[in-house]
Amino acid sequence: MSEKLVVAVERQISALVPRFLAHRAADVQSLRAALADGDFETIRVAAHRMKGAGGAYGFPEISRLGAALEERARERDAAAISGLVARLEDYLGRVEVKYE
Amino acid sequence: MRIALLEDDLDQSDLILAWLQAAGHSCHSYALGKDLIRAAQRETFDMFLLDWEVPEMSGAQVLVWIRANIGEPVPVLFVTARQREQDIVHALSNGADDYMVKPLGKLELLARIGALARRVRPSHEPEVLEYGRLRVDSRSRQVALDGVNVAMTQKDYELAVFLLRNLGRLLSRGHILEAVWGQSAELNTRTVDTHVSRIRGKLQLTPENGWRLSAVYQHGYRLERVAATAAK
Repeated sequence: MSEKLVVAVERQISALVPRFLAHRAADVQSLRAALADGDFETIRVAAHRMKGAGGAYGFPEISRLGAALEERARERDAAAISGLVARLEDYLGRVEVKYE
Repeated sequence: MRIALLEDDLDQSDLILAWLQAAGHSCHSYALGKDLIRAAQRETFDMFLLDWEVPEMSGAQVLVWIRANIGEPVPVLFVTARQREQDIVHALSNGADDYMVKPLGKLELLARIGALARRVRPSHEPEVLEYGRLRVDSRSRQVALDGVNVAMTQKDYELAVFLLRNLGRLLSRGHILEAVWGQSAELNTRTVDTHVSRIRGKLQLTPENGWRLSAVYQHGYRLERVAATAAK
């Protein structure tokens, strides 16, 4: 069993955070579908959004993964994208939000 | 301040909205450039926040439209995940006043908005301001005409101060309504017309007194000083 990751998030945005994380979980599925279709532009756009939003919500790892995915999508590197999507899925499964 | 935001990602626009509203700004969010432009054709804003990568018309194209079509110097802050130097140079060269690379930090965003706002209007205005025969005292919340306090409601006072602080600017009815009555106010824009008419009379904001408070058709109001030679 993987270790939980506790992330401190500002209480002011507590109403928005569950939806944000649900959207990222949906991204995992849509990124895999786009990868299966060879649709690297869809991957790049989704990754660009992740890069922009993650850190602002208090999840810098999501921004880091988004930046890496965007770069690999530009290079059409399917193997690297597959690995990064797996890392995103693993991160989302382990993250635990603590509002403060 | 009344801020227009161009952002197509709901997660990010809701987050920025929450930050700005908690800081006392009113914020209107648009997912498409054409929607923001349509709003800017009938409404006025104190500042624009533009994302670059949005569908159809990009933030960079919206910036060009703003600079070509909005006469007054409204600050534009780019907020984008693009961080290449040539993108930053492009935005600044085309009229953006500042540029922030995402992911945004709340405090930095609010500080940059505050800094841009200060370039347009000083943040620390004196407690007593004189505009010709008018004297505004923000401590007592009174406006005096020729040294005599004018009896006004709080809303009339706030409206008068808002117009005086924005001398020469065209202000849409929606903008005035939000600034004076608040963003959640469910009031008809005719409320604005009624109050404008009232302060025009009470403060004698007429050309013969060196003022022009004009209604701009289907848009809003502009308060201006007029030269003594132009007054009747």
